[in-house]
Parts: sequence; structure tokens; C-alpha cells
Amino acid sequence: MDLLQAFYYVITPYPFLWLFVGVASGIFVGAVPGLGGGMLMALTVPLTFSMDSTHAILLLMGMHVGSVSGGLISATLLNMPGTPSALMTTFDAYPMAQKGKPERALTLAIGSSLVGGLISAVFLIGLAPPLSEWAHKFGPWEYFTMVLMALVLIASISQGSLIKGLVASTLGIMAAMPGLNQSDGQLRLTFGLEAMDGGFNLLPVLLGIFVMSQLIKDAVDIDKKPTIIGMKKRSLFPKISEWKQHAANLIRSSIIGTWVGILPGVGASISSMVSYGTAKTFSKRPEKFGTGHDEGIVASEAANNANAGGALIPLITMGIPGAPVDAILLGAMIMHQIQPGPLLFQTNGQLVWSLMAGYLIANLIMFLIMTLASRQIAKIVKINKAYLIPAVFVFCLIGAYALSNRLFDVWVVLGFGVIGYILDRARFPLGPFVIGFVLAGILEAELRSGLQLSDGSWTPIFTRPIALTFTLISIFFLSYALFNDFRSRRKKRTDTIN
Amino acid sequence: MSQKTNTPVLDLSLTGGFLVVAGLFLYAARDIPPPFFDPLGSAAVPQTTAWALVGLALAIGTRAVLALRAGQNPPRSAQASNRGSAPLLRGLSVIAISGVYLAIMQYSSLGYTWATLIYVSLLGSLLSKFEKLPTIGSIGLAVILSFGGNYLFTEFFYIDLPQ
Repeated sequence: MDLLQAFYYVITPYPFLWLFVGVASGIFVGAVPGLGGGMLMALTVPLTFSMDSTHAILLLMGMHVGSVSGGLISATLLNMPGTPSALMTTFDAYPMAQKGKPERALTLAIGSSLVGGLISAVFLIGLAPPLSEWAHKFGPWEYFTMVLMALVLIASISQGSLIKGLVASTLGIMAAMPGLNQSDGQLRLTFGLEAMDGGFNLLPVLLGIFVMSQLIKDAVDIDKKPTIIGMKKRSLFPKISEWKQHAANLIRSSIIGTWVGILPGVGASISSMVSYGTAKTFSKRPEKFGTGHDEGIVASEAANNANAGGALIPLITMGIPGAPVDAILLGAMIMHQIQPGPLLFQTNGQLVWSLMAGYLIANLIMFLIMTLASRQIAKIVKINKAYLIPAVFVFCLIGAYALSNRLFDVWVVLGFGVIGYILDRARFPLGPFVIGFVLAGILEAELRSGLQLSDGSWTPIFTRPIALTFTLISIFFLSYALFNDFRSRRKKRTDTIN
Repeated sequence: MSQKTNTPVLDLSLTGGFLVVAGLFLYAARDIPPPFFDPLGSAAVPQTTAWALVGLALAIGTRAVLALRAGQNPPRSAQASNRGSAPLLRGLSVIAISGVYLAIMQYSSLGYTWATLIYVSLLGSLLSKFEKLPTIGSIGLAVILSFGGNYLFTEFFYIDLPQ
């Protein structure tokens, strides 16, 4: 199957229906602050077990695209980002809405989201096949150093302290250690509990970290009632003439979003921050940023949507999740007996081309739904959390229980939910935890294979060019993060003295 | 990027927790047999990550102690003070009630349907502070999720829910 056939396939009734359902539900969930794409996807994975694997992945990917975009509605009308990636959108979209122009803010945000999504789709389609070919050259040492690089990258780039990012990665790796070791069949770290023989399953851990921790947070903050800005009945279709002045910003922000997305482990929030900062630097009116300025909205929304496409590239070609939410897509693929990586184009060509075609079409569906129904979607933003919290936990229970018909997995959801909440409260980023958990198995297996091939020697890390490049990138990012840490401490000390 | 800690008390408590976790891992890893067909074996990675956690936890702990000694524990905001401990209690009640819900299904004869009916009604009412309308709504939702959910998930998704 090639790309053109994949487009034909995706627009046939069933695949299109699942994609549409995914995008629509993603937009709704993304629009409600406190819910998110990760939550929706993790809850949906168990319901897809009986589905065709391509339909299931299209549904989940549609949810991802929809939720990234849905976050802009609450960011614009409530000053609360529906998803973390919409944070930068609040800086300009909400002030613009407050000035009586919510429709204009939404038009700019939705249009930019579409352009960001389409540009990243072009990169996805253009880069994934050659990258996959290149990844055929990878041996165990290349995989080991690449996974290490992904962990270092996410720990050093994620928001907050570098040490906290590293702790979160380490904890994620440790959580994946108990149970049967796939490399040699050795049982380890089960603490005498029979239920731990299989270790912690991916889905309950994801449900705990993404969903349960958020439910606890929502219960704590349930008194915070947002005020929503009303909208008039005006068209949200953008005028082409208006977009000409934003062309450079749109293209630049989309490229930034895509490339940040390609970096393994780095999420959409970072994309929109980098792109917002760059747009401000290049702007002729930087002082206007944060006051309801067009350029800020365009930069943030084009980048966070482009990130979703960029993040699919390492996932498809190397089996490395480009962002924490992509870890769920990776988990869903594994549960459907699909192994992402360089061989995916050969083993599951239909799925991978459909995924790429589906991503492009999902962006178009997102644009249509949001342009036509934003006014209606805005009404559900104020949904009562007292209904949501118990209902979502019941879905967590069903999802985790369905995995292997045991309540132990639901206890795991609750336990990791509490851990996630405490870590979040202490400002430990949760992304590195999830990525660490997902990649720990690959990290250990590849290291053991590599050492077996080299008779216990670590020198291939330095003698194999690709492995050496990944190692140097890891060292560079770690050193850069440490240098930044040192610089910010010194600056704060100087400020205090002055 | 990297900043000074803003949560020194919590960081210090977590340092203790991390050290306990690392200690447990190192203790349990002693029982893993030595490598028999590859140079690394099954104990090396858990042990290395546990030692890495010890190092990182000590770094966080040291930073937290320094911040506390410098008087950096940020005072609670006026808004947070006014809210008191109610939000935290609400969070704890969600965890506790959810735990009891699971324990009931695991250790008593109450299956998914009745346990869910009680759980959703109780938690929904509690979160809406027993206001009349949301409480009625929660009970309605509980009926749908318990009886409707049981029918939907067992008959259509073939999930064998706890009975």
C-alpha cells in the first residue's frame, strides 16, 4: 500500500468514522480543563482490543489531534488551557477575548492549528520513510544510546528542575523493573507478591499517572469556578487575505513545532513555548505580546499542533515516543501486536501509511468541527466535576480490569495515581516518568544484547559512529542543562545581593 | 529550565521516600542470581538505577535543606489560607473512597453493579457538598454507570466485570 491508496482507505466509511469519532471526542475532552488527550486515550485503549488494529490506531490518533486543538477553546474563553500545550495560547487569546473579540481569537487559533498540523503532516510523510530506512542500520548499541538520549532530553528539556526530571525518569525506569525479565526469564523484585510476577502493566500505570492523578487534582481544586466569555454568532472561517501577513510566523512556528516534536520525549508544551519566544524575538511589535496580539496566538497554536505530527516520526520509525502522549499510542500498538520501529513499513505497511494519511485528514476534520461547533463546544467546558470524577474512575476500573480480569491492576491505577499526584504537587514532571517506564525494557534488553555481542566491552559506544553521535548529543544536552542551572542560580544570587 | 526548589518541605519528605524505595530495590536485588549467559545479568540495571536514585535524592534533599535554612519556604497565599485544609481532605477522600470501592469488590460479595451504584452516588454527592440537584444528578449517573455499564461492558465489549 502506498500513500494514495492509504488516503482512499482512510476516507472509506469505517476508518473515516473512527477517525471522526476520535477527533470529535478529543476536541470535547481537550476543551474541558482538567481532562486531556492522554486521559481519553488511556481510557479508550482497552475498548479497542476487539477492533481492527488500523481502526483502533486511527481512533486514538484522532483523539490526540482533537485534544491538542480542543485546549484552545478553554484557553481563549476561560483563561484556562484545556491541555498544557495551550498554555501559551492563553497569554494572547484570552486578553483578545476580554477585549470583546473572542471570535477573532478563535479564528486565528483554529486556522493556525490547521496550518501547523498540515505542515507537520508534510514532514511526517516526507521524513518517516527515509528515516526508517536509516534506522535499519541500528544495532543494540545504537538503540541503547538513542533511548538514553531520549531520557536525557526529556529530563533536561521538561519544565522545572533538571534533577527533578532525572528523578522522574529514574523512577519510571525502576517501576518497569519488577516481574519477569524478558531477556533471561528471571523473576525479580516481586517482594514475594504473586501478583507482581508479571510486573506493572503499561496501561494501569498510564491510567494512574495520566488519569487518576488528574482526578485527585480536580477534586482538590473543585471549588475553582471559571468565568466564561460569551461568543456572538459570527463565522469562524478565516479570511485568506488576513493570513498573508502571518505566513512567515505560521511557517516558522510549524517548523519549530515539528522539529521539537521529532526530539524524542519532548512534548507540545515546549514547542509552543519555543515558538512563542521566537515569534516575539522576530516581531516588529514584541511589546504587544501578552496583551491580545495576533502573532502570539498564531505562534503557539501552529507549534503545538505541528508537534503532534513531528512526534509521530520517531514513534513510527524507531519505536521511540516523541511525547508522553505518544507513549499511549506506542502501548496501544504493542497491545495490538504491532511493533513500531524500522521494520514497521515492511510488516505493517497498511497501518503506517494509513496513520500518516489519517493524521492529515484528522487535521482537516478538526478544523471543520472547531470552525462549525466551537460555540456549542464552549458550553460543555463548565461541566460539573462532581459528575466527572467518579465516572472517570469507574472507566479506569473497567479499562484496567479488562486487561487481565484482576483487581490488582486497578489497585495499580490508584497507587500510581497517588504517586503521580504527589510528584506533580512537588513539581516533578510526569512526562519523564512515563517515557522512562515505557523505554526501560528496550534500554535494558539492548544493553544486554550489545554487551553479549561485544563480550562485555563498552567500547562500541565510542567506536560506532551513530552510537557515538547519540552519546555526544546526550552529553551536550546534560551539560547545557547543568550550565543553565548554574547560570540561573548565579543570576538569582546576584539579584538578591543587589 | 533548572530552578531553585519552591517546595522544600515536600522535597525533603520525598527525599526520604526515594531513599526508602532505593533501599528496597537494593535489598530485593540481592536475591537475583548472578549472570549466567550474558555479562550483565538481571540485577545490574535495577541496582544502578537504585544508586542513581540515591544520588539524585540526596541532591534534592541537600537543596531542600539549604532552601529551608535560607528561609525560602514560600508562605501560603492568602487564598490558600482561606481555603484551609478542605481541598486536601477532599483529595484524600477521593483516594480513600476509591480504595474502599475496590476493597469491597475484592473482599466482599458486592459485585461491580452494586459497588458502583454506592461509589458514584456517594462520591458525587460528597464532591457537590450534598447540594440537592447535583446529588440527584449523581444518583442518576450512578444508576446509568452501574446497571447500564454492567450491561454494556459485559454484553457488547465482553469484559467479565467483578460479580
